[in-house]
Amino acid sequence: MGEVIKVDGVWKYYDGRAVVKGISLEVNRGDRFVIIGPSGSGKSTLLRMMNLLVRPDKGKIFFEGVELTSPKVNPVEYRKKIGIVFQHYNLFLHMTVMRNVMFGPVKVKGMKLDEARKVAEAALDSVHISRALWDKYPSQLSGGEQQRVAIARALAMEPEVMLFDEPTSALDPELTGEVLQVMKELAKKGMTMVVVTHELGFAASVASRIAFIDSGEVVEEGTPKEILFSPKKERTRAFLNRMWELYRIEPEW
Amino acid sequence: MLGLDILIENWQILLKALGYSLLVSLFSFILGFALASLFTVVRLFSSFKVPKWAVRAYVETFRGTPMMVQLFFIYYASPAIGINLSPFQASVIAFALNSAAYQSEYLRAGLMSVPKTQYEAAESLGLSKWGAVFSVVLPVGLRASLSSLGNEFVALFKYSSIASFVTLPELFYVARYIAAGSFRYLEMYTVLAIIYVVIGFALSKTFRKVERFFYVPGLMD
Repeated sequence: MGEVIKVDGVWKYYDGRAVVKGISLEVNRGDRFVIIGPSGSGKSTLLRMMNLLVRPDKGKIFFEGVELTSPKVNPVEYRKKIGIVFQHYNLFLHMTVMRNVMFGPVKVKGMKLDEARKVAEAALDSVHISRALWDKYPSQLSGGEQQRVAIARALAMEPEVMLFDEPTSALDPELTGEVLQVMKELAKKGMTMVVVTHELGFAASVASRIAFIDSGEVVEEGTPKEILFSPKKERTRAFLNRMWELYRIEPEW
Repeated sequence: MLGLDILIENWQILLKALGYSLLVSLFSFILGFALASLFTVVRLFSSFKVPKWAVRAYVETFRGTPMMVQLFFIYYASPAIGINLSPFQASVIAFALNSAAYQSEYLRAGLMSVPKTQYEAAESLGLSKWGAVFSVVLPVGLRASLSSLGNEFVALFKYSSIASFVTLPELFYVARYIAAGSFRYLEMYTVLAIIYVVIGFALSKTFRKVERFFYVPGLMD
């Protein structure tokens, strides 16, 4: 199992305040690496550093052994192999669904239009976006549909790894399911994934590894079983207790 | 009837004058747009301070001085550096320089309304900074600027009357000439006002059509 992404002692400061404090971790091929932690813990910043949307102030990021943070390396070259899905989908507003998905293959890989269309069709099929939606604009779709198109847009680039930045946080609960379903299918196909999420159910069923992050540090890292069901650190326990509280159902009948 | 015979008697010369007014507006709009695009790109995306500062100074200068002063300056100062501009050339240049300042403000506002996340999404797919600017930020930002740019064109059409002061035979110049020759000031200027209103309205309508052509659901509403 080769390592796809390696984060080596990275720090990030905003206005003199450290939001990521010397985090190191490794994502291997085929991993479903799930990052959990409270809001403002630095999870998203950490994820965005993996494709250098955010440049770390200290430390190194490696992709397939290449140091992306090296001044000699142009990260633009590597971004096409690292797919990312954002919390707010960020589809291109002036393009139809089809054009959104074709955009990367055409503009970045220089693919011919009919070839790119085939790639896009396959990607849209794989996220269950029906043909009826292909010529619609993002604003005419539900949030769940937009997020699935965003996943297709990233997949059309045939990335080595997919990063998910709280992909269901902006969705109504009933739309969350359809996006998580698509992500589960991706995992089954063997896609290497790094997922920042609050969906503990998803983490429990899909993750191969989980890291719990708090105040910019990795508090604990391990298998889903270790982290979710027998956490060793007090901070992890406190967080999970708060999260499980949300799922506790006490019907009155 | 009031003014109608004045229109019938002089329609040929008025039509030609209208042609001048429209041509000056059109040329200066296009030239101004080209300049404004350049300015806007420098202002928003350049990594260097000096060009940014120069563009700002330019915009403030041209917005801060009367268009007539700018026109006179171009027309009467150009021979001093050995260039003889015709009234038409001087008008186009002066109006274009003026309009570039305004248009660059409209473009800037339009481009700044494009969410930064659109740019991030393009960069994440592997586009370069300029690739993202051209294929994502500009198409969205230009759409957002369209209605202001349309207004600017109509404004240029009206302000083209200033070109009469450097003897360009456009609408206002010709109207003054006809009025003075026939002593029928009221009729002539009424007809002139009507011409400006009708053409201005037609231009607005045309720009609405352009906006509708580029309309994307959910983008600007």
